[in-house]
Amino acid sequence: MHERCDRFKTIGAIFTAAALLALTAGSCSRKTPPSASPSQEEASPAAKEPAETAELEQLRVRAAALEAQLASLADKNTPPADDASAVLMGHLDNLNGPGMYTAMEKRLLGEEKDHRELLQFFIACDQEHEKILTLTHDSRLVFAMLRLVALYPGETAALCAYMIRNTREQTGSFVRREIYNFLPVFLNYHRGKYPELRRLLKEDIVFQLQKGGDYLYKLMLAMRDLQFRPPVDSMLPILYSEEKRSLHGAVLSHLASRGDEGLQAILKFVEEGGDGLQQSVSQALKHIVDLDAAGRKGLALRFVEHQEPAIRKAATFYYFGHPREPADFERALGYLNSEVTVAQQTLIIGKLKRNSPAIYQQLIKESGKVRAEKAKAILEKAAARAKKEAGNEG
Amino acid sequence: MRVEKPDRIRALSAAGLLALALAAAFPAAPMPSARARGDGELQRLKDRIRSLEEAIAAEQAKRAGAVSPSPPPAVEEEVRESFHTSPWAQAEKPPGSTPKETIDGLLALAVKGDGSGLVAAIQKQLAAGDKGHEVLQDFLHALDKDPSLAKRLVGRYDLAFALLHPAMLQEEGWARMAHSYLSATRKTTRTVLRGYLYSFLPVFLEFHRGRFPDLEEALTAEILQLVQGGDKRLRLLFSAAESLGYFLPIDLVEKRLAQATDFQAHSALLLHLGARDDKDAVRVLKQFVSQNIRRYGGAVSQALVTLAKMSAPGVEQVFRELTWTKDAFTYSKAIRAYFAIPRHEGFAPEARRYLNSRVGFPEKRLFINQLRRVNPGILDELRQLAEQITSDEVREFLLK
Repeated sequence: MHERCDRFKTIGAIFTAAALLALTAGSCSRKTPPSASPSQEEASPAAKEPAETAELEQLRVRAAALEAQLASLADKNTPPADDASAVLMGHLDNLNGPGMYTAMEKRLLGEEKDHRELLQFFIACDQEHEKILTLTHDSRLVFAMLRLVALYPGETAALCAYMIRNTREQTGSFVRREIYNFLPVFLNYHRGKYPELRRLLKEDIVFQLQKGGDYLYKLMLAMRDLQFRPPVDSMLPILYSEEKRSLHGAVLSHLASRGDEGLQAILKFVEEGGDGLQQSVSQALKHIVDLDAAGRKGLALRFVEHQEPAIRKAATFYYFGHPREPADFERALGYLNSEVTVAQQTLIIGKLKRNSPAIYQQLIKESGKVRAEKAKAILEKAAARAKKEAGNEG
Repeated sequence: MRVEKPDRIRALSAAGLLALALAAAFPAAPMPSARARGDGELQRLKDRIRSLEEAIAAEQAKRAGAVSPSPPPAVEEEVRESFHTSPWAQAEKPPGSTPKETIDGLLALAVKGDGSGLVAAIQKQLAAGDKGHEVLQDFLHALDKDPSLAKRLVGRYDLAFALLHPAMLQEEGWARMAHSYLSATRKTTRTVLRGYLYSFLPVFLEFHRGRFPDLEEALTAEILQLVQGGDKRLRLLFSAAESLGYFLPIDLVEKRLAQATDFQAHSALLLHLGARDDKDAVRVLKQFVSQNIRRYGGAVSQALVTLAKMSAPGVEQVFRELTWTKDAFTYSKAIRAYFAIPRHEGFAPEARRYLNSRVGFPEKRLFINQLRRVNPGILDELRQLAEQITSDEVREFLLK
């Protein structure tokens, strides 16, 4: 089934995006125009306001609860067994592009219940993963969905909004992945046309970051495409979670690009990270040292002289990743003589050779001061080689 | 020559007008007071709650009912007149009549990566009739002179998305443009844009089946010519042909299969034969297997799996011949291919026969592992009657 996709290698991205687009078609909940209820009793404005506020609040809570209930009904394990789903699924199984187009068009142009049917269909596909892959990769189905997106951008935007709202809690669903793939491209193409949807997507990104950042890579691409910088605080739950260790690198890189605010978050993380996050703290130190080298002078020294040995060692290791003056000779020597692994000793000698040749030469000259056997052997070997070369030249 | 005015565009314009009318009407209405806004909000929430309650009740009733889905109703598909593109493809002037600054303007949009700007410019030209089409042809030829720019246009996600719009919004104009371009570049079939067209056009034509007959015909004729001429892009050409519902003459496919020496060519031809799924395809595949079983191991395995997936008459007979042979190598290959697709438990005796055959243990081990992945039902069946497996070694591995 996916063989056909091979033909789309070059424009595969587009089509995937398109499929995503089609998927993301959701409808904003309709805002019914306000209309005063004639049955309501008149009361003096002063007496009515607090009571009205309380009632409004109650109604808002009730509406939110019902929305959540409905969304949960839509997503629960039971795939919908109604006609709509059967029709759409039939077209999917038969790879019937025109059929899928017609069936989706009807629902895209319909009301909220039609959007719900589409969402239910996507969720049903997601539950049978092979189906969602077919829907988003088979060129016939993707073409059909792209056509809808091109012809009905307003309705597509509405459907996307509906889907964002109603899949918020399903953070790991493929539907969401497709939203992040497609929507930024769509919004950038229709720049300025759907500000509400753009705002909703941004809010959703912040919400998803706070929830733990499933599909973080996609979220970050969406942030880039939208030129959106979420509040630094929204990324901290991921950074401080030991379970999300694999995402820390991406978060730290992002924070390092966020100026002072991001830097402060990284500095705080280094101080508060704790043992469980040692590896991520080390990554954070690399960013700090790099920022120091890029002009934020004085940042690195604080950590290469840190009282915590683990922080000090990691910072020193990265510190010598940049060119240093001969005055740092003692610091390099101190690192080699501290309790670091042989691999780290070898690596730092290599870094010194490349970036700080003066320190390297001095280490060769004073290799007797190096206590670590392997490091000493490397330096002595280098000294012997240099001597030999000098002899040959002489 | 006519200028395309698709209904759809008119429909969109109508929607735009309606939106404008609504926008104009709203500011004219008196601004509601804070009180009225509060009442409005109250009413809106009540309405919303009512509609949500109804939706939940309907959802719950539907799930409680759990009725089996009725068969999908027939789709009402758009019936559209055929649109003939040949006259333009034949009459198009040679490139070069457009002023340089016009082409440079379009190229600049491409260089800048301004997708929506480029689309607007293309749509403007598409709507301008013959003159606009001349400009577009010249633009395409200019892109051909700068393949990296052409690749960038389609390789960049946002630009590709943008460029899909003219193909969706001005289908007739786009089909005319594509046909003219194909016609004008017939002798230089390897341009970057042609490569993309071969990917996109079959999908476009498949969706609009029968609406652009000239373009379909031109494309199939060109595919035939290219395959006959020995073009190596077999996968691309066969996929395009299959999308158009066109199967190349079987003797041509047979000839190319006999000439093929690399896996890529074999693979494309075998996939195509699988897609044909007819008795000719079975015959060619059978012949390929028997002639090359010790020559092209990978391709023969693919041919056998292709056969196993086919439903054409004669397939079962081929497997009967290949699995009742004294040649253990052939038997092993055939049985592995036969069970590479899901089979029901009724095939367990066939699997057991293989496990009790003279074939070596390593092959049987691979076969059992394959059953674990593809046919767990048969594996269970074999385990239940494990005492019927004659070799201790095989039985032990089966029960592991």
